[in-house]
Amino acid sequence: MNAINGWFRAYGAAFMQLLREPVASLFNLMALACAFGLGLAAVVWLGEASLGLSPSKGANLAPQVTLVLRGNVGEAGRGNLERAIRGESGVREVRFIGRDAALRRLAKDLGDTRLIEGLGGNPLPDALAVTLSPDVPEARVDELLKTWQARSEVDEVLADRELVERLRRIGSALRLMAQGVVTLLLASGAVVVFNTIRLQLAGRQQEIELIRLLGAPAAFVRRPFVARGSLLALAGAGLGWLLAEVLVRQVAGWIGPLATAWGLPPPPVSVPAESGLGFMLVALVIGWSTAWLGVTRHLRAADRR
Amino acid sequence: MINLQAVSKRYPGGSDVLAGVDLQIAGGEMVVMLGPSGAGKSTLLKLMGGIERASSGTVELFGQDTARLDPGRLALVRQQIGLIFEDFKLLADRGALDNVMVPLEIAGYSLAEARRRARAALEKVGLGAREKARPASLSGGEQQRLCIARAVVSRPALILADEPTGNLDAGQAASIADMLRAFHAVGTTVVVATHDPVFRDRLQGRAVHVEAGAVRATDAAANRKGAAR
Repeated sequence: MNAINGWFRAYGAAFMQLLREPVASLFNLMALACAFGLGLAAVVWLGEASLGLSPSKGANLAPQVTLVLRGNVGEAGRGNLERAIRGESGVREVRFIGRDAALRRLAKDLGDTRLIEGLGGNPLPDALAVTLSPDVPEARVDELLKTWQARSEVDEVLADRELVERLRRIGSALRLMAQGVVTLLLASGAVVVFNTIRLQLAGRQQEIELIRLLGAPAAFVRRPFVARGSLLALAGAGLGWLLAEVLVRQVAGWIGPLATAWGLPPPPVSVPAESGLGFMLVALVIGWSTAWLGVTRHLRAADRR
Repeated sequence: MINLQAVSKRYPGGSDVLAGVDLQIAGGEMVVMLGPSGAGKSTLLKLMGGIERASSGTVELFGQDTARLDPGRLALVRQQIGLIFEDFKLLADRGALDNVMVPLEIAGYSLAEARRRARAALEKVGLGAREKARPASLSGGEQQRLCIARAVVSRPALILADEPTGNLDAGQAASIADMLRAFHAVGTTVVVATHDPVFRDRLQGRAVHVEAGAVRATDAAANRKGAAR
């Protein structure tokens, strides 16, 4: 109970100290808000965007396979083939694209029907567009392609695996980059807290020596500094959340239309509450542990002297 | 209460400050350590207070060998000791009441109880009306009385005073001596280091003469007021 009261008092005193030193507090909070806010924005935006390129986010990255059917395959044969394909594990969707529909699409895409009319007939085959599940292993994809190629109804199997793989790699690189940026920003937040606490320790050197003479254990000496460090980090993360919200909204306005044009999921327009709260918790832990480490190092050095 | 056996102290790169000191102080004693500056009195007090460790020998406080105590246990032992310094060591940015409350905060008292006890201690040393005063606005004698209030506020079993009248005039020194005798009268063990024989006479305690890092002579126990508390 005494320890709990002590912590309440320490947080109260730390809060009052923040108010008593408005300029120093403001600069510290701004530095922390930049570090934590950019980190949060990176997690929300860059992380989301990179995940958007990953199969699990439902972007158009699931492997697509086109089965070009032979000209002599009737409706019954096509039905059998479709049922067989749907029965395979790893297949998410099978869609028939008739040769007439394909020709109409081609004409629309070309924007000029004269070339099509000049062909005299429809040279396009019927086809089945097969979408595989995003989590299908490579070996299974190979197995399916071989199986379908071997079927008598299938003339040719076309797979866009290279493009998918390339996009997957881009997604992974973006994720890695996001993680690196977030780690660096969190580390810079920790450095700000550490330096603030170090300055505080230097300024209260005599007081620390005295209370240790009077029998204060290390935990008692640490308490006000840990309270200050964690409160600073928490307040910095709160401001950082606001900053991240502004950034995420701005970026959504800029790249939203672009993402839609590329068929990618739209970027988030706001910081999800769970991300913001999670980041504040992380900031609290960083502030607490950094201040704890700073004071402990200081006390050990003093003991050695 | 305090048992020093064959205690020596040498600071890194220096000569022996203390060499082979044997000294026993029983609970309830008033002991005055006399000797010139640099004799080793302050170092002896620091060893008794667990502030420094002996280079060799044994220092027992309250029956515990201080060399074997981990920092946490040593801190608990220190909480049972009231320290009075020649230079007062008051917190300049806190008022008198807040200064006196420090040992109670360390001991984990609630704010209300700490405030109540600190006020009582300030009254006892005659500073009841100055509880908001910062140390810089107090006279030397008042600062020393504030230091004494801080030392006794948690009712320690042992008071260690290092040259408590070093910066005071004769009248203030007499007042400080009376206060220390009053605390001794209620059974508190008091150990004072001083080079002032007049102050020693006023305290009327057992005299321990320290010279060149050794205890040269110790008077017979004069006034043991009570058994260990």
